Amino acid sequence: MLPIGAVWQTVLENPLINLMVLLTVLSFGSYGVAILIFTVLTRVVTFPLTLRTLRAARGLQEMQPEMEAIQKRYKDPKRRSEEQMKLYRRKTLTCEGAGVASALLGSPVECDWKVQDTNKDELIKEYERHLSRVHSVQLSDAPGRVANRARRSIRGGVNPLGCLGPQLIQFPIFIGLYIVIRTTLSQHPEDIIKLQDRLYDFQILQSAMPFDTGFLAMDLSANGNLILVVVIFASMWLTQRISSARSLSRPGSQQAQMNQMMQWMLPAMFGWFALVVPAGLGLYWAASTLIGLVLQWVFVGPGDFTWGSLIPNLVRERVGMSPLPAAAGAGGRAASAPARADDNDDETPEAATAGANGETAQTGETDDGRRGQRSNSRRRRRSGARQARGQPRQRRRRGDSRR
Amino acid sequence: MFHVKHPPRARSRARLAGVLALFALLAAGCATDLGSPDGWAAPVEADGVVLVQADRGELTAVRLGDGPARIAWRFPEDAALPAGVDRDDLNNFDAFYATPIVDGGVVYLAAYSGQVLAVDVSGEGPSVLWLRQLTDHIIATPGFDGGVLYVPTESGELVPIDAETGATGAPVATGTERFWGQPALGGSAIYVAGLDRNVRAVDRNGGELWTLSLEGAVAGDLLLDGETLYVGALDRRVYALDVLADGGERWRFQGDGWFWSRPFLDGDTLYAATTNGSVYALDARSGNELWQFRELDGEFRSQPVLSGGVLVVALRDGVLFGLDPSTGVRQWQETLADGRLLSDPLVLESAILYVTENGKLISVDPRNGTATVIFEGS
Repeated sequence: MLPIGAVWQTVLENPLINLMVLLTVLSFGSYGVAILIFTVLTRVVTFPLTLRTLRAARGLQEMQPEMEAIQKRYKDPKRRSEEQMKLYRRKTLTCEGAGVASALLGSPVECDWKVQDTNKDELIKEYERHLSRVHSVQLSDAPGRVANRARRSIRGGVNPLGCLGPQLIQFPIFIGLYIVIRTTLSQHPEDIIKLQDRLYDFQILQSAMPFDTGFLAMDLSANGNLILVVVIFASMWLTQRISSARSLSRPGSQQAQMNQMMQWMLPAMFGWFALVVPAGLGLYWAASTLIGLVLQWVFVGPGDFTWGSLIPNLVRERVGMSPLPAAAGAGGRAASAPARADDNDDETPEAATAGANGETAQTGETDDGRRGQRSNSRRRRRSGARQARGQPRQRRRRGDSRR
Repeated sequence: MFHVKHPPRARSRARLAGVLALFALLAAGCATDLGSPDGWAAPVEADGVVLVQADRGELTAVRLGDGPARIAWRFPEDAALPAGVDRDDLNNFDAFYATPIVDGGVVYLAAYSGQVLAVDVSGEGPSVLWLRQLTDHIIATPGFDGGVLYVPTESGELVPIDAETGATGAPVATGTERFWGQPALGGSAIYVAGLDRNVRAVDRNGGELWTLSLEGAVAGDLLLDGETLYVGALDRRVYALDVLADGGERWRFQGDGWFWSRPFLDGDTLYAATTNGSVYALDARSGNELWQFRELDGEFRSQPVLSGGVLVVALRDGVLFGLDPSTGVRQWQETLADGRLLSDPLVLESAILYVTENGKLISVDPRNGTATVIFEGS
């Protein structure tokens, strides 16, 4: 065997095999229960990353109006790409910073830090100056954990590839688990014999083989379990649906089209995947997706998704319900940004994006930029008042900004 | 230095290297070899020829002589068929795990894909007498009492088939899991053990005599000697059970690996090999260890055999050992150039025949370990 293959087996496959065997023994011989326990363990271990992903996803969603403004403004792909990267860098997770101030002051602090397009070290210094100037507190006074988190957050900003982290980490586990399930649930004696070498020298592990492949009327070693395919498709579709809030992207925009495509393509892809791999792996994926869906719902919220929105307009008309608006109603934020960009062709990119985002343009401020600043200041004040009253933030419907 | 001046580039190169390493690992993981059913039917001697599974799902009759071995016929290629059996029915044997059972000029075969058939080999070529298609895969060698075949299946059934007509009866034993080991027949009882960790004794009509639960699954063949049933299990133990006392345990022996191969009994000594590379000689009456041989890591799946005063064992990796049966001291060692050994050997008068995974028939001289390839599959 090649050294890289030996490394793969020693580092990933063998521990996974032994873990699965142990879990199966602890599950009274049920490999299906062992897979479910393994899935929960995996999700618990990767939870911090998952949370980061969910936050990054939300951050990306909230940037969509600015992104669309940039897309609309710049025809040159290179320049457009540069501006988008600038936006990524500038759009830091200021609420983490506000969290530091809140911890130091003992009261909630609004995310009111305005950032410039500068390098990361400068960004932290600027943030420290901001805390000192506005809140009269020092970052160095914050508890180490809180301060470090803020620094990491500021350095990291919104990473467009942030969503891929947990997926990349899960990918080797997924491949390893695929091999483990194929190996441990193999129907062929030749494969089972090979397993002896790979089990650690404990009686509890050695005497556990081979496994019963049945679980809830499924054969975990067989391919093509349709129930799992349906569960995976449905849960992934729902996850995609609630993670790409339609209100944040204009109907017909590139982002909306992308969301729409991903909402169907990704579940279809994984559904197909579940069809051609052993049901044991499908069970892992189904359980993992369902847990992810619950996490998404609990920690990020369902966005603009409602169960009622699953009823298509055709049915709605027949049962006398009001029809759904196109793309579930585009929000004011999404609508206002391009409107401003359209209004003034001389508007600087900073103004366009900052205005759309509720941030002040740092350079080349224009009337529209100042208008956007005033508008956003009002929005922040309203938001602060809402927070003080403990009320949740409400999205404005399209056209509200023009009233 | 360049690296000092441009640390970000160095970092991105490190990241790139990390990503490449990850992909290399993934590629290695995806390339893990998982076998298809190859089968490990042992070679058998029938009517002057040796039947070998030289190719997956095919048997070749090899005629041995003073000169080079020659092919007498191939099965199913050269088989004559009875009325009602289509040639297509013979072309989908996945593999043969079950060792063919020879009864005079008739050979009984059980294929992994579930076909059981009787083949007359007494003529010029093979002639199928009957064929039955069972619904499940077959790995274990059937038990045979001269009139009835008892075919263990992957669904945990023991299906009786009349050897004369091929008529099937109702299953006489039902386990909750797969049967991979050959049952043992003694008197009116049939003893069978499976992956559900139970050893069962049933009468010929299916009435249960007793059931004994073990800690580990039983994947190997059972060995019955008088009133003692020897069972090698995957809990790394060999059990000696008293079949007249409802399977009462006479002794158990703890080894260092799975006991998958059929033990070999010679007088009062039981030889048993593990998939962890050990061979044990045990006192068959007490279970006490007489000696242990262990020199290399590797799996012993094929049965240890005694020939010419030498105990011959074969590792899966193709390494053969000749051991002194009374002391376990190695007398010779031979490594095959190409080929893995999983099937049980055939002991002839002056040689031991092994079939490798890639279909080579190898003759081994038990006195000195000289190995000669006498036939190669296509």
